[in-house]
Amino acid sequence: MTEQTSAIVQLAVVGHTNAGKTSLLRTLLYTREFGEVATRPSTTRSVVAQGVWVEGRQLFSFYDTPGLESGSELFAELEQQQEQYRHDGPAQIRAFLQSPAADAYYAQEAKVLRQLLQSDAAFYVIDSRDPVLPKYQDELHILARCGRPLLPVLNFTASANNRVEEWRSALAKLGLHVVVAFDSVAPPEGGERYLLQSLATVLPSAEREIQQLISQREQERQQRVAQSLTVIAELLMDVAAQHASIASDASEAQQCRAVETFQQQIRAREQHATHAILARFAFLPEDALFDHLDAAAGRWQDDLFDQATLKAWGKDTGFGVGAGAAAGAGVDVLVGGLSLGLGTALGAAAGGLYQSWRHLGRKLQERIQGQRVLHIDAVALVTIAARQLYLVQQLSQRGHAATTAVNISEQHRFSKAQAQQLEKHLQPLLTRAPDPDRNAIRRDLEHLLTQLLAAPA
Amino acid sequence: MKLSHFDRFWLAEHQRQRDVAQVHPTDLDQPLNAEHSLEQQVLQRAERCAIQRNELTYVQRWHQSRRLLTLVLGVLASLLGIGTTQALLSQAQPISLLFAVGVLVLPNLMMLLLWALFALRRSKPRGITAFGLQLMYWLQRQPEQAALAASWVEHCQRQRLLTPLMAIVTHGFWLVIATFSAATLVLYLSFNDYAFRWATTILEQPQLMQWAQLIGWLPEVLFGVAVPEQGGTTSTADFSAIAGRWLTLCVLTYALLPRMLCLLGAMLVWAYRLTQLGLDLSEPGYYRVSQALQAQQRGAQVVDADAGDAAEQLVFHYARHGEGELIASLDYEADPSWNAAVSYWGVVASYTQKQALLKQLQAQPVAHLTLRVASSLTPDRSSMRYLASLAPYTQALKVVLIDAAGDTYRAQWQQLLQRYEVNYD
Ligand SMILES: Nc1nc2c(ncn2[C@@H]2O[C@H](COP(=O)(O)OP(=O)(O)OP(=O)(O)O)[C@@H](O)[C@H]2O)c(=O)[nH]1
Ligand SMILES: [Mg+2]
Repeated sequence: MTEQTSAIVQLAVVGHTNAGKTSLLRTLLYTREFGEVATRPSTTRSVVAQGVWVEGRQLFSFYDTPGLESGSELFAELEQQQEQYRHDGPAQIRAFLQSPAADAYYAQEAKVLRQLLQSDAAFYVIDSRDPVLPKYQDELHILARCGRPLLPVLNFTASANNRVEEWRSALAKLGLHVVVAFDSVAPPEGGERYLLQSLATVLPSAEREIQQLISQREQERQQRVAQSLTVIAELLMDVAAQHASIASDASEAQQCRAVETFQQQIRAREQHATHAILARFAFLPEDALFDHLDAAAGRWQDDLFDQATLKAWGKDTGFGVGAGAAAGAGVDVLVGGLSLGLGTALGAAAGGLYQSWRHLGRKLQERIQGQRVLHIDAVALVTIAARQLYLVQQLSQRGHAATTAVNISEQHRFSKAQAQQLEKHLQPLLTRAPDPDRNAIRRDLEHLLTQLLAAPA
Repeated sequence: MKLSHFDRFWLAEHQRQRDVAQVHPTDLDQPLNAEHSLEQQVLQRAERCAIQRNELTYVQRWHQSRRLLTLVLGVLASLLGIGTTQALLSQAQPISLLFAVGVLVLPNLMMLLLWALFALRRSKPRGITAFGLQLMYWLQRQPEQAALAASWVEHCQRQRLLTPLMAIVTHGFWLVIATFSAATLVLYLSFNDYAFRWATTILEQPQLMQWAQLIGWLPEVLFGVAVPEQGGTTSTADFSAIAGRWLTLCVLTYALLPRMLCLLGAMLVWAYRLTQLGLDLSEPGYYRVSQALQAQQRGAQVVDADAGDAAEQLVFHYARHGEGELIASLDYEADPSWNAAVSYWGVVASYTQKQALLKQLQAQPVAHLTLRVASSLTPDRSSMRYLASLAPYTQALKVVLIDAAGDTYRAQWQQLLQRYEVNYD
C-alpha cells in the first residue's frame, strides 16, 4: 500500500500521428511551450516526460510519444505469432521489442510500445473528424495487447464534421466504454475534470492522486481568475489616478503633446496589465491581439485611444466626450483643478488630516496659476475595463494547445448602469480626493468585476 | 550576518516588489537548491539578491535605528511617567484623591479606549507607530533604504504583523509611562509625607463617595483594599497613609495591569504570526519567479530519444511496361457522389486489401495508377510507404487529393508528394 501511494503515476499519451497528442498535453499541463505542435506528420520523434507536482510532491509523469504510423503492418506481423502468445499480450510485445525490426522499420512504434509497457495507463488520442479506419483499429489492437488501461480521448470535437458517435460505437466494440470528448484547443466547460475523473475509473489505483490533482486544478482556476480581476482593478485605479497638469496658456500644439504623452502612459499601463493577466494564465505575451477594424480607415487598429475603439466599446454607456484638444481622445480636462472634489477636500481637511491640507494646497495652487489637469475620461475607462474582462473570459476557456492569438475585437460592452457603477467606485481617484482608501476601492472594484464576469451585459 | 526569520520574509517581499516592476526576473540562471521547497528557494533567492545589492548593511542599519528609536521612546515614556506623578504630588496639600486618580489613570484609559475603537480596525500605521515610522523614514533617507522601508511596511501588512506590532508599540509605550509613574509614586510616598482628602466643588458628598466606591471596586476585588474613608476613627495621618496605598493600587489596577495584559496578548499574537509566516506563490512577482524555477527544475525530459535518421528516404521506382489503368481509393472514398469508373478497384483500407491490390499489380502492372486520397486524413509514413511499394508496378502514379468540408492536410500531402516527385491533383 505504502509503495503504491508513494509511487509516481505514469501516464502515456499515444495515438496516430497528428491526432493532437502533444496538443492534449499542452492543455493538460497548462503550458504553451511543451514540445512542438505542427500540422505536418511525425512532429514528435522522442518520448518526452513531464512531471506534475501537487503541493510540492510529484504525483504524475506524463509521456508524450511519437505518432503511430505503421499500425496495420505491425499488427499483421504480430498476428503471425498470435498462437504463441494467445493469452499474454505484453509478453508478445516485449518479444517484438527485442526483435531487430523494433530498432529499424518500426523504431517509432517501438518507442510508443516500450513506453506504454512502463506506464500505468494511457490516453489514446483520436482525431474524431476521421472515419473509423482499419488502420486505426489495427493500432488499437496492438495497444490493447500491452495490457494497460486505455482511455480514448476524442479530439477535434469542436469541429463541425466530427464523427464522435461513430467512434464511440467502434470503441465500444473493442470493450472501451469510457470515452472522453475533449477538444484541446477549445476544451468544453469542465472538460478537464471529466477527463481526469474518467481516468480514475479506468485506473482506480490512482484515484487518490487524481482527486488531488482535480482539486488543485480547481483551486488554481479560481485563483487565476481572482488574481486577474485584482490586476484589472489595480489597472483601473492607476489610470483613474493618473493626472497631468498643463498651463492654461499652453498653445494648442503643447496641449496636444501633453495629451499624447498622457495617452502613452495609459497605454503602457494597460499593456503591463495585459501581460500580467496572460502570464497568470500561462499564456505568452503574443497570445492576445487588441485589434479593431477601423471602418473609416479600412485597416486594423489596436489602439486604445482610437476613436473607433472608444466608440465601439463605449457605445452603450451614454457618456459624452470632453472638449478642446483632448476631445474624443479618451481624456478629460479639468480647468483650474478646483472644479471637482472640493467638498470632500474641505470635509477631510476639517478632520485635520495632513494629506488633506496638502491636497487642498495643491488644488489652490493650480487654481491660482490657472492650470488645467488632464485625466482619463469615462469612455476610455470603460473600454479598458471591458476589454480586459473579455480577455480574462476568453483565456479561462482556452486550451494551451491553441496556436492562434485571442482577438479582443469583439464587442463586449457594458450597460450604462454598469459603466456608471464603475465610474462611481473610481470617483475618489478621478477627482483626486484626499487620502483615498485604495484597499476599499480595490475591494469594490473586484466585487463589481466578478459580477460582470459572471453575467456580462 | 545571520538573518532572522522575519528579515528573510521581509527581503522576499522587497525582492517581489522589484520583480513586479521588472519585465523578466534576472539572475534565475544561478542555481538554487532544487531539493528545497519552492518557498524556501524563493526566500534563498531573495537573500542572495539582497547580498548582491549589498542591502544587508541597510537591514542592519534599519535594526540599529529601530533599537535607537525604542530607546528614545522608552526614555520619553519614562520621563512622561515620572513627570506626571511629580506634577501631581507638587499640588497644594492635601491633594484631592479623585483628581489624583484622574491624572494618573484617565489619559491611559482614554487612549486604550481609542486604540480599541480605531487602531484595531485599519491595517495602516497610526498614532505612535506612524510617528515612529516617520522617524525611521527620516533616518533611512537614501533611496535604497527608503525602498527597503516601504517593503518593510508592506511585508508587515501582508503577513498581518502590523496590527500586533502597533499594539506592542502602543501598549509598551503606555506601560512604561504607567510603570514609571507608579514607581515614582511609591518612591515619593515612601520617603515623604503627603496629605490626601476627598474633595469636590460641584458634587455632593454622597455622590463623591459613590464615585469613589465605583473606582475602588476593582482594586478591592483584586487586592482586597477598601476605599479609604475619612473621619470616624481614622486620624488624618492614618487616612493619608491608607489613601496613598489605595492610590498606588488604583494606578496598578487601571494603568499598569490592562496595558500589561494587552502587551502580553499582542506579543503572543506577534509570536504566533511569526511562526505562521508564509509566501503566497501565486501573487504577482512570486508567481513568475516560482514558474521560472519550476520550468528550470521540473522541465520536460527526453526519455527515449529519436535515433536521428529521422527523415526516412523512400525510393519510387516505376515500371517499364504496363497496360491499362486502375483507380483505387486509399483508406476511404471521401466523395460520396463520385461515379466509380470501370477501372475502379475499390477502397484499399485494410492490410489484406492493400496486399491484395499489391499482388494484383505485381501480376499485371498497369500504365496508369490513380490513388484517390482524402485530404482530410493526415499523411503518414505507412501511406507513403504503400505508395512507394505500388510504384514499381505502374508506369505512372498519380494521387488525386479530395477535399471535404473543414480543414485539410492538402498542403502536407502536397509537400510529401513533391518531395518524391509524385504527380498529384
Ligand atoms: N482545432 C483543433 N486543432 C487541434 C486540436 N488538437 C490538435 N490540433 C492541431 O492539430 C495539429 C497536430 O497537433 P499535434 O499536437 O502536433 O499532434 P501530435 O499527435 O502530437 O502529432 P505528432 O507529434 O506529429 O505525432 C496541430 O496543428 C494542432 O494545432 C484540437 O483539439 N482542435
Ligand atoms: Mg506530437
